[in-house]
Amino acid sequence: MYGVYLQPVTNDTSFRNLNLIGDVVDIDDLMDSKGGAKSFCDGQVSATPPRYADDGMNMLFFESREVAEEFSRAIRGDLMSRIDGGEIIQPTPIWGNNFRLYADNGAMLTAIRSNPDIPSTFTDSQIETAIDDYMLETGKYPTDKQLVKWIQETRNLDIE
Amino acid sequence: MKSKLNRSQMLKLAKDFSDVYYNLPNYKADKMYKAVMAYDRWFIKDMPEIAYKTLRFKGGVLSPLTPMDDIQALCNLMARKSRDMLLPAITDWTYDYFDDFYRKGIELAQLNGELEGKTIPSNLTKEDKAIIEITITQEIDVWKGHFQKHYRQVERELIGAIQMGKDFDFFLARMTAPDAHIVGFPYGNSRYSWYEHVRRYAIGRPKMVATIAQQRKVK
Repeated sequence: MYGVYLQPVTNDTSFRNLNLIGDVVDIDDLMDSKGGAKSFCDGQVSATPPRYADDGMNMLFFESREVAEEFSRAIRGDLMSRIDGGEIIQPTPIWGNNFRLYADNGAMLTAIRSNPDIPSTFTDSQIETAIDDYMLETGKYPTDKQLVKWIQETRNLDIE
Repeated sequence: MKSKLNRSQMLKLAKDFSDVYYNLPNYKADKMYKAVMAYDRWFIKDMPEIAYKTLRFKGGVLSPLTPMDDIQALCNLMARKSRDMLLPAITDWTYDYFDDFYRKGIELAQLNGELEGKTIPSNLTKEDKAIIEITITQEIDVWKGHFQKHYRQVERELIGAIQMGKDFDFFLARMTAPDAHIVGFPYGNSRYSWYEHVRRYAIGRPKMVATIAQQRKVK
């Protein structure tokens, strides 16, 4: 099962949440990584919102990754047009300029999966987090070579 | 598999979904907040009188010569009072509303399911009722654990004050959270008040329980 983060965006929406909107996640991976719920009340492991009591983020669930990604593209595209049109005053999210590429990580996942330098235990969710981090640092969607180098430099692959 | 919906239909569903999610009724949590305030008042007004009779002081500072049994008895009293004052209100709220939160989650599932062409019935099944029941039971058990954590917190702060040769006001200050309410127990490195724990519970649980239903039904 896959989840897609969703939140109605206003001028006050945090940049962290803005970046998360439309993110497609594998629920099993999310549960393994404690679902971002490390700061949740009593440390309960919950992949489901609210990860924090009132951060306002919600999630929709899908059996098909393809439909989840279609939905993600729809809401990210809509959000970008509202930001570009001035309807909401927000900076461009990290996926903004590349949202079409970013929303369809399938090709990148395949490329990284087939790279012998990345262990098979490194999950799709971890690859996507690495893409997020790369984009946050550089503002650009990486090539597969850039991403492999980034993962090697920033992740402890023996542990992960 | 591709969705049968076009982009504008998807966006309409996303909006309808958000309307239900963010308009989850504002369930009254007044009784829980009042219970917290009652404990805060007891802690500030009544507890110090008992503490001054129980603990030993020398030159105004806490003396390490207070027997450990007495320290533990005082800490136990605080933990027991917090449980007796807070738990009934929290239990009532949980029993009264979790069923409603779950039903709202089915509404969310119906909208969510449309994206993949699923029709989700609105009735509560036997399994749904069991899920609500175990969710309630688990929540109340978690709260019982919270009062044990409160014991650890008061004991830690009181013994710390004794070890550092501080007065009782130091303990009271350490037990006051940044929001001016009495600390329940810490989470991470933050000392959260009972008020904050209850606030998070009241705000978070409607959405969390609704999401349990949503996730189960969409599967």
